[in-house]
Amino acid sequence: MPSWENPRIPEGINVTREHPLRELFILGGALLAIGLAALLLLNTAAGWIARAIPFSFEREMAAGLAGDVTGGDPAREARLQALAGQLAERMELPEGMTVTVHLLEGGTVNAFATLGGHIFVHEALVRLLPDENSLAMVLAHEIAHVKARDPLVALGRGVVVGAALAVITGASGSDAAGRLLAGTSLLTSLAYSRTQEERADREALAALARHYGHVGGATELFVRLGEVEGGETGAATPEFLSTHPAPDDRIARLRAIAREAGWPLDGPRRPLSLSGD
Amino acid sequence: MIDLILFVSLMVAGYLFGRMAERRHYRSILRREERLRQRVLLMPVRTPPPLEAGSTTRLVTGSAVISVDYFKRVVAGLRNLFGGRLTTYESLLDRARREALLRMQEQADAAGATMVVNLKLETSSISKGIGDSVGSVEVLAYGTALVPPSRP
Repeated sequence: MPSWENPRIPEGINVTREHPLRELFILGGALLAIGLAALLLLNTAAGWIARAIPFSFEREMAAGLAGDVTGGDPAREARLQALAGQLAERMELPEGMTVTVHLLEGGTVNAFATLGGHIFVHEALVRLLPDENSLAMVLAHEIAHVKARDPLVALGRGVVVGAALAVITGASGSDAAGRLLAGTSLLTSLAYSRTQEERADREALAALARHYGHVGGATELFVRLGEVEGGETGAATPEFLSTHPAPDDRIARLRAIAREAGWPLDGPRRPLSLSGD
Repeated sequence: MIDLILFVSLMVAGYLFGRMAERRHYRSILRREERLRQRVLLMPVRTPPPLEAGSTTRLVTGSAVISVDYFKRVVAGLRNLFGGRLTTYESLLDRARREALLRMQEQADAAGATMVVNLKLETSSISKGIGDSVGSVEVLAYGTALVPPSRP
């Protein structure tokens, strides 16, 4: 019988002698860099596109929000609407842009602006404020958001970024890669929110100065909010990961802006008269 | 944030334990290959050499199922985006194949065989990593063992 044998096969033919960590860092780094760049680009593009959409179109989109019974006292709502109207005039809103205030009943201290110039204010927030000036600050801040088309920009950005993420994670088929990308998108969208907020603060202060002659009451809300939150949660949320600037920082910044512009930091306050006056 | 911490922990665990398991497995494979290499010959040819009178034949099989660890799967996911060789899976397949062959040889050896002819290998992927599960690879080796009438 001829000699049959199985010789020893040398190692390393069917495997690649490359350190796995090296591959991870190179590929992972490349993906993160590309992801960040793409998301930043999409963020900016979404902003431009959103501002190109006329306000009338946005108002039609938000048609469902008008006329809803929100549970707040109608007389109060009317007073808020009147105040908002005065402030809107002071802030020189563009032609055709209108602001509608809705009063929501409820315990959360919150106010926000959405599409079509609709502003929602919770009763709890109104109850918390001592005078008309501080309420005007809140309303002016939200009107400034409407003026800058912030709601539509945020919506558009969310849609564009969400769609892009869905495409990328779908293509990779790996949940982990998707998580990496989701983390980066959160960071980039936060930075924009903060710039938008700061700009709205600045404009609101200017409106207050024009309407009352001074900016007294502007920081009132944040002082009170700080008291409320400090009592309830007892823990300060790190500014980095929250979408709104921390109250202490904001108060200091508002005062600095006022001093820079030469607006008096306080003056005679008008009392709140919300019972159908 | 919790998500990120969990992800990093899984990656580190997968990397460390995966490497440990792989090293240990390769050591075992090399040791057993040395022992069985000349004891049970492996022939992929279909027709056996001429048999002595009184030889018997039987089917022998060996299979191994090896799981992918989390680290390997993440790196492979990144590779799937950029293209190129999946080097992390290469060692996996190599180990599974050699382990299956060794187990088949061990089964043949236990039966007293000196040679396995008509050797075939089959690979299948259990669960294929559907959804969030980490996939695994199965390799099956089978052939005809030739048992001589008497063994020295």
